[in-house]
This record gives sequence, C-alpha cells and structure tokens, in this order.
Amino acid sequence: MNYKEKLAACTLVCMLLVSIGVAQEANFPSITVRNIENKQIESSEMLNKDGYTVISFWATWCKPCIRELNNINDLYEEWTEEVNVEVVAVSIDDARSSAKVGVFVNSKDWPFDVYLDVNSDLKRALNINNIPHSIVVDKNGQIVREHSGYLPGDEYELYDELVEMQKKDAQN
Amino acid sequence: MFFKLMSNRTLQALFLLGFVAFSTHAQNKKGVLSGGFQSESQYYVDDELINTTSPSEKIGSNNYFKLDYVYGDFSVGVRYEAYMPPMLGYPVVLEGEGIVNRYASYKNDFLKLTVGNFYEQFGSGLTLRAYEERLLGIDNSIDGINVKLMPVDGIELTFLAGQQRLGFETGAGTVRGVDGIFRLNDIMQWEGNLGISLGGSLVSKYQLYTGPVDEIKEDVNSYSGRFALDHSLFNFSAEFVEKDIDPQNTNGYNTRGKGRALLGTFSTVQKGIGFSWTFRTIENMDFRSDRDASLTNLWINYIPAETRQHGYLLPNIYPYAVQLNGEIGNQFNLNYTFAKESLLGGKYGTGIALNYAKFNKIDRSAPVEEGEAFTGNFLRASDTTLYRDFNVEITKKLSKRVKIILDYVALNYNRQEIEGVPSDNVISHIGVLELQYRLKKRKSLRVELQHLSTEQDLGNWAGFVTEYSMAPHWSFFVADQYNYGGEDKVHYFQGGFSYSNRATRIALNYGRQRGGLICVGGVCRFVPAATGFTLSMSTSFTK
Repeated sequence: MNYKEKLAACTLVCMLLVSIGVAQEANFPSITVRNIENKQIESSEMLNKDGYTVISFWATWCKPCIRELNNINDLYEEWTEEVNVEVVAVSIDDARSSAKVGVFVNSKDWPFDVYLDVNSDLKRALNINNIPHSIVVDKNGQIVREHSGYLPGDEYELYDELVEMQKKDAQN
Repeated sequence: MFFKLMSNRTLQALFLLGFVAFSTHAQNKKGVLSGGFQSESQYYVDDELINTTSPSEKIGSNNYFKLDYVYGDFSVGVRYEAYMPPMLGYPVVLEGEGIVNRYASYKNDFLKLTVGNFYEQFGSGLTLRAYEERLLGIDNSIDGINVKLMPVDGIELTFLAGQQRLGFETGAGTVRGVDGIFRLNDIMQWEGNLGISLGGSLVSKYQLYTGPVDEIKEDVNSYSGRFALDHSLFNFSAEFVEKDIDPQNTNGYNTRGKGRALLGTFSTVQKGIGFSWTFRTIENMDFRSDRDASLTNLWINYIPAETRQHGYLLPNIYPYAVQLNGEIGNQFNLNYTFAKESLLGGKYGTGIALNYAKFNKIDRSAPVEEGEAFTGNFLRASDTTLYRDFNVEITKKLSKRVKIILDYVALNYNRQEIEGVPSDNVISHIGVLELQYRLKKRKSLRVELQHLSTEQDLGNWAGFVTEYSMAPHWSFFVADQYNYGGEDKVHYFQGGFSYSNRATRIALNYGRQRGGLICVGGVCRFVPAATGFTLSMSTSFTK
C-alpha cells in the first residue's frame, strides 16, 4: 500500500470517527437473510415492532450457542408474560449444515423464529467476531445491548436488563 | 483489481460517498457507524516432547479492525489487518499489514450496487462463494463490482466481476459471474403449500496464458442449474454443475476431464422427529482464480465436507477433508425427541440424534481416452472408502440443575488418501460424556470425559475438559488430551480463563496445541504442533 492509499484510508476512518455519537435512530442493519422456509426476507422484518427483540447468533455445531437457546427456552414462557420480548435465532450454518437446521430446530421444539444467514452477511454487518453472540433491539430498531459469548446464567442478566429497560420506557 | 487498475477512481468514489454521508448527516439525518476489532496473539516456547523448537520469531499476532458507515441507502466500509507475523499455520501470504477490504454500496428496492470488496454466494456455493473464515485465514473476497437486480417480486439477478484477495494483493485471474433466482410462486402469484424455485449460474475465470499447452485455456467456465421444492412437510433441492477442463496445480495440470458435481438434499420434519438426507458426487471441482494457486488460496467455489461437524476435541483428531478431485457419498441425519412424561422421555424429555455419512472415491476404472470429456463415472462409487462416520448423541436433562450428553462416534478414516501419507485405514471409536451442573443461578460447572480407541496411527487417547463459569463475566478451564497409546505418551494440556463484558471478550490460555488438520465448515488447514500462550481479544460496537 503506498502512502496515498494509506492517507485515503486514514482520512476515511477519521471522517467516520467524527460521526460517532450522533446517531440515535434505527441502527439495526437491513440485510437479506432467509427464513426457515428458505424464503428471502429483510433482517428488519425479523424484529418485534412493538417491543424488544433478542437476536441470538448460533450454529448447529456450536455447543454453547445451543446451551444458551435451551436455557432461554426453559424461561421463555415466564419472560414473555412479564416483558414484551421476542427471541429470534439466526443460524450462521453454511452450505455444509444449513439443510440440517430445520431438522435440528424441530427436535429442540424451540418457540423462536429461526433465520438462516448462510454467507454470514448479517453477522458481518453487525461486526460479530465469534458466536455465541446476542444483541437486543428495541421497538425503534435501535441496538440497545450486545453480548459476546455465553455463560450459563447470562440469561438471568439479560432478563433483568429487559425488565429494567421496559420499566424505563414506561416512565418516559 | 481496483487498487491496481483504478486505484484513484475507487478512492475518489469512496471519498465522495464518505463526504456525502458526512456532510448530509451534519445537516439533519443521521448515519450509523459500526465497527469491530479482533486480535489473536501467541507466544511460543520450546517443547522437546513434541519436537518443536519455537520458531525464530517467538510471537505470532493476527489483528483485524473493521469500520462500516451506513447512511440511508448508502454504505461504505474499510477493514485493516495486521499480521506481525501471522500465527503458526496461517498462510504465509498474510505476512504484512494494510487495508485489505474497502467498499461502497448503494441499494434500493430494485437494485443493489457494490464497488470494492464484496462477499457473495451463488446457490449452495458449488460454482461461487466468496467468504471469510478467520480461523482458517481464508478471505477470498472479490474486489470489483457487484450488481443485484430485483426487477419483479420473485426474481433476483446478480452480476459480478473482479479479482480475489490473496494476502495483501489480488490473485492473477479475473472472476466473472451471473446468477439468477426465480421463485415461481411469487412470479405467478400462486397460492398453495408448495414453493417452487429455480436458479442457475455461470461463473467464468480469465487468466493470461502464454505457454505451449493447448489444453490450458485462458477462459474456464463453470455453469449450474438448480431447483428447490419447499413444502410445509418437506424440502427437496438439487443442483448440477459442469466445469470446463481446467489444468491447474492442484490436479497436476491434468489436461483431461471436465468437472462435474451433483448435490441433492431432502429434509422432512414432523412433531418431535426430523430427517435429512444429502447426496453429493463431485469430480474435478477444484476451481481457483489462479491455475498455479495451492493450499487454501483463491478458491472461487465452496465445497465443504458433507459430514457432521463435531463439537468435541477427540472426534476432531480425524476430521474429513473433502476430496475435490473425486468423491461420492451420502449423509443421513435423524433427530428424535422422546416426549416429556413418556417411558424414555422422563420428566424433561430425551433427545437423540443419529448421523451417518460415507464417502468413497468415484469409479475411475474405465480407461480415459484422449479428448474424452470425463475421467470417471461420477455416479458410481469405487471400492475405496475415504471416510465413514456413524455417530449417536443422546441429550438428557436429569433435573433442573443437571444435564448430560452422551456422544458415540465410529470413524473410518482413510489416512493415506486424505493426508497423502502411507498409512493403514484408521478405525476409531470415540465416546464422550458431558455433564453440565448448575451450582447456582449464575455459577456452573461443566465436565467432559472422552476416550478414543484405535489400533492404528497414534493409538489411544483420553481427554477431559473442566470448565467453571461465573456469569456474566468469568470463565476458567483446564483440558487435557492424553495420547497414552502413542510412543511418547504426550499430554496436550491446556488451561486458561476468559473475561466477557457486553460485546467485549478477552481470553488467555496456556498449553500445548496438537498438530494436525484444523477444519471449519469442512475446509481444513494444517497446523503444526506448538506450545505457548494465546491471548485473544474481541469487541464490536454500533453507534
């Protein structure tokens, strides 16, 4: 890379950095994913329009991811009674295992909507480095929480924060 | 491509878009800035037992920094990478630092246009897939132009051209492609249970050739047709690919034989039970944008191993690496859940997953004549089995606090064919018991006990993993893979901890890394054995 290219890249980065901290509108990216029936949809259509959406990135070969979704599943009825929240599971299984996703989800009997991100386009747009990774999006399409990795018990933290956020909404 | 041929123009475009975004956003509308950082570093020490003296460079460090800016229908982004130097086992072409990815993109309901680096997949990837897999050091993004058109509901057309990333350069050849998706239900406005879609793609590579061999062409084409039936009770899809004769490094510049591939998948689900089946046969399907490329460099298409991706340590000692020059086989998958309160289900239900995959070489017994289109009968298997994997996994929740997973794997690994070394077939049986125990709401313990038995290669292994975690921040683990059946009786001990806080994660490990194939998504790279410290950091943000 010559100095011109470096200068160009640096300037671009600087311009972008200057714009940090100003945006407060919808920032959840609009990327094409597939639903479990293999139909293409825009990622914004996954969202719960009048409450919170928890988006959990997982894969059929990712043990901690499955553990996270199982543990949320155990509490899900309780959650949805107390908070306006929907959990969706976005699989990053690629061509090797994407055909197994439907079969796998069915055996787990998860109540979550499941989507396929077979070439990791949404994962990349959200700058997710590794899975499991979960994000929470509010009703305005604003990302309000991100969490990398999963440890058993994280689901309680997540729930407590959802309750807290909903309380704040009610006050405003 | 753009950096080489149109360097100034691309930069101008990026600037223009950046400027437009920046200035308009200063007015009233707001853009979205997001980014991510990841760093993996290793410090190597000498270890006589596994015969490694640490490399002359004691440190390997891979670093990635990415920024994207979205303003309405526009987006721009850059990624910087630095390898100081690459960690052991990563491609040597990654030595260095610099901007490896930058793009500008515009989209509306009808069109999406990207210039610069982009990722793409046509169909199941048999003809084209540009993707990134950092664990393998693979990033074959295409640097050029990508146009997607959605003229009517149900039709999507993609046109692309460019050169692929190779380290901090682009590869020698040019890739051009067109793909079409036609969802008949949307086009014809059919109502009903059965969704029918058709698709097809044409991918062509161009690379200058001035040598004397007639069969080496500057243009090599690959074309495919596919269909999918999606019903509420089942899904069935198939894709067929044919590729021109393509003499190249990885097939020994073989001047005979076109490439072919056929892939079929079927799956069906009912309450509590699910079944999937995949059939695939391939012949001469290694497709790269530089005929002299090797290792994991410059792949245009993506053909993963059609076997289960194992999640535990010991079953990954003998992973399957797909044989692009010719293989044929099937994979079956059955998931069943014994209902709660049934005899085998107990209080919480019991899950069972069966998986079987077997791949053979294709039949090449028929003599190959000069000028004949194909080298083998790609629908017939030869007697040589490359890989067979039968596995059963049982998942059982015993109480609110305790869950166990039992995994049994029987592998038949044709080491001679897969690794290219003189060897017997490795027949191994692996058992895994995992116990998850929730001590308190936020504290839990996980133990894995594993055993691999085989009479070939390195003999028996025992393994264990213990992990203690305290949500939401801390986790500690110790693990060992003990090759007690081998001559040196080596322990591959590892220990470490991680700290997570929101989107940030930091982990430090120390230990001995087993040499061998590391496979992700069915694509493999060879990693030498090493001992040392590993520090990993990652974070991401959206503003």
